[in-house]
Amino acid sequence: MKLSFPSASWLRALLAPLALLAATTAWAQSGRLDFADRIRMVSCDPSTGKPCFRVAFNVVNDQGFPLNLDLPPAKDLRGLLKIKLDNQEIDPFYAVAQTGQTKAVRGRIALIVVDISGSMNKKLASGRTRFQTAQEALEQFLDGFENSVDRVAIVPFESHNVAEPINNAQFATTKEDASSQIQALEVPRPQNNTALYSAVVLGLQVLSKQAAATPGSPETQLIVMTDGKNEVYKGDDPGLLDGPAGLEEAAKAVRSSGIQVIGIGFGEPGSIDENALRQLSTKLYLAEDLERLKQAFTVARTLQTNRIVATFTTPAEDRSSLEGKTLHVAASLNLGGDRRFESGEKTWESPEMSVPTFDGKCDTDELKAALQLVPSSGSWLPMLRPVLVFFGLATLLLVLWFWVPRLVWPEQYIGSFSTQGGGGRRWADQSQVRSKSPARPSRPAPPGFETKKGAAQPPRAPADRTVVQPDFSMSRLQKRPPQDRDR
Amino acid sequence: MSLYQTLYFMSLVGGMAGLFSWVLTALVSTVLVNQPIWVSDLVSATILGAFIGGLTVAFSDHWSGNRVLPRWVISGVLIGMVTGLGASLIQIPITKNLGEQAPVLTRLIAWMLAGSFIGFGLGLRWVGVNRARVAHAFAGGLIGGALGGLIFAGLAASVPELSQALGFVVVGVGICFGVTLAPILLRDGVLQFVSSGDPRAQSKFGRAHKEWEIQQGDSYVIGSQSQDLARSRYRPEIDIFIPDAGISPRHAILLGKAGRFYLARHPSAADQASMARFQLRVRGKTVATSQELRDSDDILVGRTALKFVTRREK
Repeated sequence: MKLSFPSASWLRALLAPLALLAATTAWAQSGRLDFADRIRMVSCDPSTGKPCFRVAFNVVNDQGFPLNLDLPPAKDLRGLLKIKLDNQEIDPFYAVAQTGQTKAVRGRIALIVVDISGSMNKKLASGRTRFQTAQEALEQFLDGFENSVDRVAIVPFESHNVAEPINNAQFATTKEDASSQIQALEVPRPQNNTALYSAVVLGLQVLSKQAAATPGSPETQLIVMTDGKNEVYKGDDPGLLDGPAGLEEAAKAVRSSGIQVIGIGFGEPGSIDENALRQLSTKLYLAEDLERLKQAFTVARTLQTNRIVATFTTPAEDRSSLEGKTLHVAASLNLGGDRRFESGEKTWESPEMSVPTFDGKCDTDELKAALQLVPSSGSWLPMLRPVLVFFGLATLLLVLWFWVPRLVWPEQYIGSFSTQGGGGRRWADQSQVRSKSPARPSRPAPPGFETKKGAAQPPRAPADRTVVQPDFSMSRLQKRPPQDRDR
Repeated sequence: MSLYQTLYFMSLVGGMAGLFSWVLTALVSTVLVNQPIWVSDLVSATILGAFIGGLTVAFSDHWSGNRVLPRWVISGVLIGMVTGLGASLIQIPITKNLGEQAPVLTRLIAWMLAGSFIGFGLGLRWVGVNRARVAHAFAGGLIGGALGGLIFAGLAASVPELSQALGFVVVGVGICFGVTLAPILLRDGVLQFVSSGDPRAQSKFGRAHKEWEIQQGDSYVIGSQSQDLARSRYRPEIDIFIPDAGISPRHAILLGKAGRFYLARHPSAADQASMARFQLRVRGKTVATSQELRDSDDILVGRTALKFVTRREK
């Protein structure tokens, strides 16, 4: 195998951010934990039936740059990390610190949207255009690319045909493919404007779809690189987001996605809409030259590769116990001494009307840890409870349907019960009686039509004659002697 | 079936629909993995709408005394599904914007939206009778949804499963209660079944003292046409069905207009032969074209005696 050594420029590019990181390591241990992904409810079945939650953090300094900490291995890290769930402190059953040097636990997906508006043709002091400089700096992001782990797509955006290249983003699985995507970026044209807001929204959609289609809940990241501000004019694509409303919509999409969005502003400070870019990203870095730009991409890459991932369970026994709930999650990492890092609060919300669904599955290491550390409830109640609820409510409805109306409207139910056998009424509005009983209580038959009481009558044939026995008991004739009556 | 019995049993039908929806939603949620949060809400509202729509159509037609047409039940299911789906799609941006700041309110809005939209879909069935019925059904569903949402949000922390199941049941009850109650509360008159010479009509309505509520703006068709012959896909063509051989398929029209009520012969039963064969009398006098109704008027339609009672007396 032929080994190649990095060139001097590569070395400089590599060393500059490392020097910065080393500086932050040496002199400043103050910092914080930043959520790097949304809180995910994952299934750890069959290790435990309890719903588990996975959180991912970056350890960053006060300026938002990743801190290069020497974190302990998984078995020790678990004890140093505390999860605060609605003011209740919980120990995660699994925690791991991933770095660029360690083996990645799960895949990584990154989408980089690059501004190719006309202003990207502006020449820098180096004599190269912003676009050419950006292409060179983008290669920095591919440093440490793991072919089996990373999936990266680099797509351009301007104000014409914005959706197509982003929606058709091809996620490269090898460094060579990703590098060729950088080289294949379309050269900016003077008439190109900047559909920044729409590009961010489309990028989030594409990234979400790609993450959902990739097994194992990969670490996601969207990088937005621009040298200006959202500018959409007549002749550009119709329906592009613009103005304060467009910015608000894009910012909401960023917040609700939970995806880490890194904004990189490249150019003079005055030319970049820093306020908008800050709203559109979870982290913003500004760069004026190649070195700074490379540094920004290195930081972005570090934020994706260096994450602390922790998995924990809640007191809830099953998914149903979490319905209608909003969980407030925070975390703290205590590395001893004054090296204590705390996160802000992030919320996890269950659906508005239904039982929350799983957002992925635990990986093998998480399952092993859950098997050892999550106590089994051993209760049948979570399985039995829905059945009991169903039968309880069904019984209540049956009582309300069949019994209560007989108390409220008794006159309509008199005679509706069959005295023997089955049959009877099925619907509350049917007044007819469907009794199959032969001994149905009724008025006595008219005189002359009585049957022999107690004796079973043979069925009548069509040819049988009906013989009416005259009964004179109620007539005046009854008082006359029989011989007169016969006459 | 009297008005209050209709209200009572219709509410129970809603509860039943809610319970079945809950069971199906719970089953479907086990296969929904890696989906955005709104997908499970969308599934829940769609299933709830389907059950409420289908069961409401089936039972209301059954209680009207006429045949239950499968195609109308299917239409009810589809309309319920579409309205439930629409409600949950509208909910998506609301959740995005309000979910974090006011989770309880967002939950309440979701249930109210589902209730009102499904109620709206049910109300469309009576749009031919009175357009205001759609608004009434919408409002009824809104209130029912709010009740369901409050129960869901209030009980969720302490009684899992029961909260959602009860939420579904209460929303179902609320929607059907609201849809049925609104016309009863707003009624200006009632048509009461007294007796009938036709044993079928007597059997169906005699013991139950069947009543039909009437409000201003209503236009009811009275007749004996079986629903099998109806051409519509959702709404019944005969609003007051009386299975009497002396009543023509489309016998009369009862309408409330400008504060008054009128009973008129249906155009299809206004020819000489029909007038001779199919009786229509108010206060003992034959109605040739139309007749204004007053409080406590006795009406004879075919061989069926009805009584008209109204609160509005000019």
